[in-house]
Amino acid sequence: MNRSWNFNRRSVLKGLGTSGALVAFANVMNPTLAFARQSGVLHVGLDGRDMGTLHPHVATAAQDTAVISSIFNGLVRYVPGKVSVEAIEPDLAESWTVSDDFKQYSFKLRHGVKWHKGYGEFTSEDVKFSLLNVRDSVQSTFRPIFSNIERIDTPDKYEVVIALKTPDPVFIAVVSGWQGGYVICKKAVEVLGDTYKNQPVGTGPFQFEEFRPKERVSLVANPDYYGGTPKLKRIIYSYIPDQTARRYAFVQQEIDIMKGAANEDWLSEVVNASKDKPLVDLLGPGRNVVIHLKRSVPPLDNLKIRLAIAHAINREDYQRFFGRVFEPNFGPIPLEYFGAIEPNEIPQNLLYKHDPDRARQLLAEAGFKDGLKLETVVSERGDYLGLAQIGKQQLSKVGIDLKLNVLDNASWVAAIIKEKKGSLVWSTAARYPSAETLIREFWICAADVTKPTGVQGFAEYCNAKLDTAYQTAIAAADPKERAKYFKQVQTILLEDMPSVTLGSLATPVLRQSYVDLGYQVKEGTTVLSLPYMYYFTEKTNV
Amino acid sequence: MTAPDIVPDIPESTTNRRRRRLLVIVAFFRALPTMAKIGAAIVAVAIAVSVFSPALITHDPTEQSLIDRNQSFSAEHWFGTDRFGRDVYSRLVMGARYTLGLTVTSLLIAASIGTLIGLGAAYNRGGAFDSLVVWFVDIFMTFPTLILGVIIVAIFGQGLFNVGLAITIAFLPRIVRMARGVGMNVVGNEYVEAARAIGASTPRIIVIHLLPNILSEMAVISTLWLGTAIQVETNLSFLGLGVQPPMPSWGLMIREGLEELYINPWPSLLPVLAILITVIGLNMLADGSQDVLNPTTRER
Repeated sequence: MNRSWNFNRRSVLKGLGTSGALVAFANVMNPTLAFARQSGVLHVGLDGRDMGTLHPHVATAAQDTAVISSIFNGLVRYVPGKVSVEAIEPDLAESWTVSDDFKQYSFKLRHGVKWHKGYGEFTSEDVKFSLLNVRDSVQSTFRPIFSNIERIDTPDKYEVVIALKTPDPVFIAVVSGWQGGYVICKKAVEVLGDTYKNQPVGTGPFQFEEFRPKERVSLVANPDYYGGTPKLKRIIYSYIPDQTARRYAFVQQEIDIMKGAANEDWLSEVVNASKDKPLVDLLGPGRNVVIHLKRSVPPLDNLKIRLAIAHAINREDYQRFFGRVFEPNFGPIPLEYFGAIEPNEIPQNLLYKHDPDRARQLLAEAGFKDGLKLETVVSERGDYLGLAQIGKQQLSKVGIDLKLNVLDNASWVAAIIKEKKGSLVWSTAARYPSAETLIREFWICAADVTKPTGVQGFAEYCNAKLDTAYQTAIAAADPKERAKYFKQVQTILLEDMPSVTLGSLATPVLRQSYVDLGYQVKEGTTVLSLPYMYYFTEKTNV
Repeated sequence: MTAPDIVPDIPESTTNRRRRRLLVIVAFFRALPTMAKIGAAIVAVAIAVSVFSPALITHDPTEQSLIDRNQSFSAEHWFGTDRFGRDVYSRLVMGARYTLGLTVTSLLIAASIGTLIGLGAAYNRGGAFDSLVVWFVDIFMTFPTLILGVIIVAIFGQGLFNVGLAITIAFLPRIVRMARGVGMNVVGNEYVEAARAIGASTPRIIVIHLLPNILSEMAVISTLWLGTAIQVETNLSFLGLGVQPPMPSWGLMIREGLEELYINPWPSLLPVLAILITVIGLNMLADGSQDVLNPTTRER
């Protein structure tokens, strides 16, 4: 049989259209069953693309720290939902004592704690190995926090004595279960070597099971967990970077918990679209949203220009854009951080409220009556680009024409840190919620990006008076004294205005109504959780 | 444009060159199939919107009003507002200017340069210049247009001009190859031989004798590629490499609206529809034009 087939553009298009419609219809009628809800298995949707590393002393990415928090323990831990020195409770250490000069911390360790996968009993040798590993590791960005450790003694298997170089009244927070404070297994590191970062061995309620690149990490219950066998059989963390795809999976109940977008409208829509009414929690500590004004870019070296920019900012616009997720703030440190200056503590002359007329007046006084032009780089990441576009519009209303050069996020990070580019640099940083973390990273002289020690001092700012107040604060044992000097630092920052703080952004996380975290979280309130994910304990269940 | 069979007979005494050219165009459009006429109307509207966009917009397309964000269609905002409270209608209209203006200009430049290079290669068939052109074209043709565009933007940087440059360079090898192929058909004609015999220079032969004879085919092919060029521009802008925010382009509008697709789909959906309609219109016009100009299909 001789049959000829004639294809033309129209017939191919018709065919493709019909096939597309059939595929779409098939998908609607037969949703994927791969993620069907399973008893005892918790599905978590993370917003990252892939695992970076699960070594707790190196990992900084949120998608990694969320997983790590279920695998590892520290000597002490925070009560779930709280992060402060007052909320610390025993974990691998049963008790501890502090010397009167705050230079020696002694810990009594819990007996009978087992490492995952048969790596034996947890002992004081592991604590010593772990803390020295962070202090001396070139790979760990947390090493400055541990640099105060002078010596670690292990009188027996269940006792650790840490001697410090200088007094630190809040050192207990350093050895809490977070980042460098997580205790790693000496024997496992010796056996596994570099692969430890992908096959972590901890003491936590869940142990590492499997990693599928760009797909998921799964953990299984640790039957030997010192707190009792976990109720959950397994936790599966899936990498779903696209927030629309994540939303779809959550609404279909393919995932039980997910990171949400920092946008109240978006969150409301997800809640309304879901079958059972899911719960939304705003996790902190808040990301401090700041515009750093680079001093080496004229005329930003002029205080009047910096103050004009501060007066041009309307924080209400950001509230409208992000909703309840954003909390406006006039002081440099988020209000839930220890030592933050409250709005009523800021002197009236340093409270730079939205005042376009005053901004224009300051510009005129600085010799820019007809306005000025600035150019900067900004990340294409949604939250940064949103902040920058709103900022651009606000500045344009007072006569500042800001040109935005949009770069992909990795190129932008390289541009502002390595190449020192940009004039206005947006940062959204969250740290351990105490004022010293942000001050140390952004505003002390050593933080200046133009100096070898500098990493994030984008404003290229240095004031010896501020450094003195900061050093006095961190050496003070009395919390009231610490707070007093932290507030002095913030007053200096408001006077010099190297950076304009807009407010702080919480990290919204959604959970299905059937998820039992094992502890109470009051819905709608800001919950402090350092991994920006719930802590999953032996009591968590679905 | 040469389309002798579809042009009505015009007495020599009453015609002049300009009038005849106009009549050729009118006759050409009258000879188009109905679908192609619809396509031509769509393209005409898109171009008109692009040209007259400053007069057509109702709001400043970059002006934010965060108190009015994500509003639905209304008399004040015909197509609603986006997540920054910007007027979607005005952004769509101004986006046409950026998307169509950029692609048409870039393709026109690529077509002008590419046709001349292709004709030069055809005239020099088998010679050193021809070999060199074919070699370069073969190398560049191994890259899909979008990938080539991304590479060029990566080298020269983002922004309106560089995206235009990327589109021009991405389409240049395709136009060169097509012009060379079409040129091969006319380069052996007697009038070319005659021109050569009377001592005409190579540039003169190419510009005066060869170019007019392939212009219509190249115009149609370029129109067909305009749809692909629009896709390249929108893809580059969608990837964040093209038109920079807050200025609108259709690709950038789709990207910006994606984050709130479930809350307010229109800021993404409307530019998708605009691209879809424009590209379909261009394809319908190009298909019909081919049918009219191609002697084998014209008789059907």
